[in-house]
Amino acid sequence: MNNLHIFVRSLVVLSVLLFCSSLFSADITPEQELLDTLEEVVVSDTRIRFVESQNSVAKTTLFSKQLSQQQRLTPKDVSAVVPNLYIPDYGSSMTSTIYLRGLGTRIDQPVMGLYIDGVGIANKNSFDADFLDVRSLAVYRGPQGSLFGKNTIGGVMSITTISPFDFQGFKLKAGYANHNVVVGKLSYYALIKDNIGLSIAGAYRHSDGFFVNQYDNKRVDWHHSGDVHLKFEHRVDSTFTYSHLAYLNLLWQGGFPYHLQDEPVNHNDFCGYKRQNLLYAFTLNKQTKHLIIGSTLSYQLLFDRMDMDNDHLPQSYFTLSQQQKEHSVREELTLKPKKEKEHWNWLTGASIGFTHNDMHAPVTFLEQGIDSLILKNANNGIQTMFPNWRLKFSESQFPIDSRFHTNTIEAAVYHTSYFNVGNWQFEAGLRLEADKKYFDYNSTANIHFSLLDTDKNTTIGNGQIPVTTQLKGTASLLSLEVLPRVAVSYHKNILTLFASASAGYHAGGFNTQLFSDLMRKQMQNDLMENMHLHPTDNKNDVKSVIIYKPEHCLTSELGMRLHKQWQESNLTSELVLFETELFNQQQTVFPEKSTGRMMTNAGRSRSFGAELSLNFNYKQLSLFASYGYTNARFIKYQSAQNDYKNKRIPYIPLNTLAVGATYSFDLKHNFFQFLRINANTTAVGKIFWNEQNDVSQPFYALLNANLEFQTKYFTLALWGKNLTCTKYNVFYFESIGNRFLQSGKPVSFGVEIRAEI
Amino acid sequence: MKKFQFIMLTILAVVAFVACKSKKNEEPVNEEPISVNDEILATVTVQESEETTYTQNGVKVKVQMSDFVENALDIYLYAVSFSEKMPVKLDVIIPSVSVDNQGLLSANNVIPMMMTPGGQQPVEKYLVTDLNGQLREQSGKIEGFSVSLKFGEYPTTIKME
Repeated sequence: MNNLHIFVRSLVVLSVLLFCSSLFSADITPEQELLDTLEEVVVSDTRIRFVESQNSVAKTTLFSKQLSQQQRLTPKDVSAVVPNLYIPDYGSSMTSTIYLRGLGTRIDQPVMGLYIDGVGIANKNSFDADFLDVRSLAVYRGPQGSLFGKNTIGGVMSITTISPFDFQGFKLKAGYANHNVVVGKLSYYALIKDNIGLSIAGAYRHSDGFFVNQYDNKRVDWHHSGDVHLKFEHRVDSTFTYSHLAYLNLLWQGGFPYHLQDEPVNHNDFCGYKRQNLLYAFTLNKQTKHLIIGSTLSYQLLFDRMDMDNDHLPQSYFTLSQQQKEHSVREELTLKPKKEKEHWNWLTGASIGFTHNDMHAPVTFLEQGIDSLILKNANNGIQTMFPNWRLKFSESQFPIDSRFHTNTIEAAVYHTSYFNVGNWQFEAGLRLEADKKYFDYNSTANIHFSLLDTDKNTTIGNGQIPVTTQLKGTASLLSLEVLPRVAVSYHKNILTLFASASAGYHAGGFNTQLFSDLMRKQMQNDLMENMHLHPTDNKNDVKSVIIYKPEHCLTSELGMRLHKQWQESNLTSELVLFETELFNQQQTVFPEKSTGRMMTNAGRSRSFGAELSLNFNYKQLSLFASYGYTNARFIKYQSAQNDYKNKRIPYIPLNTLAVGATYSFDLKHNFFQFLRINANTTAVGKIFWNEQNDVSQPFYALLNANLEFQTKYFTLALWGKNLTCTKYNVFYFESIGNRFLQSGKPVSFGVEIRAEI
Repeated sequence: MKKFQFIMLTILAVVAFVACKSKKNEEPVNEEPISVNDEILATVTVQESEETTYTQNGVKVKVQMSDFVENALDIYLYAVSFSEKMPVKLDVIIPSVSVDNQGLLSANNVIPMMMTPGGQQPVEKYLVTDLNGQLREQSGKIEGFSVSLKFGEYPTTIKME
């Protein structure tokens, strides 16, 4: 019995015991609503508080009640609820491909920063994790580079979890859904003293999976994950607070249920993902006579391993394994005036960080892969000159073994000032950032070959000739960036108008996934050389393809925000128009006849669009609507074969839509107190899947619903997702001449119980 | 006196005549056999058709004495192609090319060999005919090399760069 099973069984037993004991306790209450607020003591990061307070930032904020009612459990689940945000649920939890306002790439760096309790998550592979006791989630749309630096050209998502100063006691949740989904959560919050708070939270989720692999008739996307959060907060006095945060996430899952069009998932090699994530942060806020000093020192450790049947077919072409270990250390320092002045306020900061990443990524060529991807090309070349010659390998499979080491050093300073003149606010900010990456690579492959004369049925020369292929070297990339932002807003009564212009950048990097193709080409060259045949096309310019440069954007926005309260009603709405120019655009391509994918700086693109959000509350009725439109096209993108000018950028949805309503019935019963009904729909599309725009996913909508009985002691919820059984695809790609898709999740429904003690 | 001067001049003329004739007899009539084992870079030019030629510069050429035939040498051409359309370049040996003491090269109806892993294979397709050329060597090192031949149907020249 492994540790994970012990943890799960303990959690279940504890939950049951607590639940049973709760029935005999007079202090059990259903889940209470925390104040939906983002006060200074709640949000620890000064920059987040600053952005939140600004009138000129387009933002969407969701609170725990809405997330819980609508079963939004991970960052992927807030797609479309935030206008123009699309995080498709495909692949595995390693895949957090974020598209926001026409910006996004499938591999390496994200376009949106993720902050949890003020700590920036260093690696995108860690983004997809279950929410645990989230108090609020806010997405600040548009480039946030002037404050947050690289990889925030689309925006920043900030998650704030519950503090022991907000709530004391136990929080409990247990749930079950179809496909054998089991969730359990137990949290304990306490005030050790009036000014010292401690919380421990743990959660577990299991799923049998939604998709069956026809090859072995087993579900391919099963899931186990566990999370533990620890918080220690000390409000020493009115001038000094500090906290320790520690988050641990363990995950093991199957994944990558890709399939050919109109065919089921069918592959013969294992696909899965394992991850261990540890985050530790020490944050402090100190008020001096004139200043407030904020500091966040964090350390993050990521171990993960991905295994994939890389041909996604029942044949044995090749498999990929990618293991990485990453250490990341970062210090963020902020300064701001203690007393806000009438006309001029400011925020200044600095940050420094270091990341070390070791990656081991062997690609194993299997029998059919050797025949069709290596020998076929080699023999075609040989037989143009010598029709009766045939090349043969001794090995039925062999690895191309690649090891990469990447060190990144980053440093930045920034300043933002804002000036208040009557109802007007003017903002100007600038960030100077340096990012230096060092990369070294070492790929090797060893095979034995023989050359046959098929006419004479003899071996030419000596049989079993060894060939060793190696690509070894270093590369580096330096980015020096200047990221400005200017904004103006006008606020009076219920109306706010704003306009802004800001710059951002999306870091460059190295195409580690291309090395199997580079090695394959080098192996072919080396094989031919060993046969005294010299291919005329033997160029293998590693350095020209392994580096991709940063992309830069300039975004302009015009916006309007309305907040009206009258009698028992409350209306907030936001309308934003934006235009983004993207330079040196990073585009993920699948090179022709390739086994992998690479990032290339494609050219230039432009996206423009609109975002509309509405929230309306009237007595027991709550309505929300969120709509995003993005028109994103290439201005300049020429590959060797095609010109994609004016084509729509693939994977970016034209529209996102989320609409929902909740109605609460006061049952006026001693036990059954409230009944809440929520129905909502999320819709996305049209999505073009490739640069040619000849393959697409039409607009589709998913209907979800939730029925909650709030009793005297607990809340019982029945929920359903995709209740109309909509069939849709969430991902498409081409590999070795085949077109693959991943289907969206089918209908799911479940029940959960939540309680507080 | 005049008679004496005439006789002296005559003797001088005869002596000069004899001396010149001796020198002429001592001019290079090389009786030492050619011995060479050297590598050079050469330009290979192939007449693909009446209108088009294909030129490849920087071809590594090795010339060494044949192990099997006296007064003959083997010419090795590395990574050579005879047409732009050839998808691969070959390592080719023209064996047993006759060479005289003056470095004159000749061969006809010689089947070139293609190097293979651990051996050689005849390439009848590129039968060598009408090979003529000149080799100049000093102490085994090539000082000049140029050859014209036909590889199969293709007139070809190989000239030291």
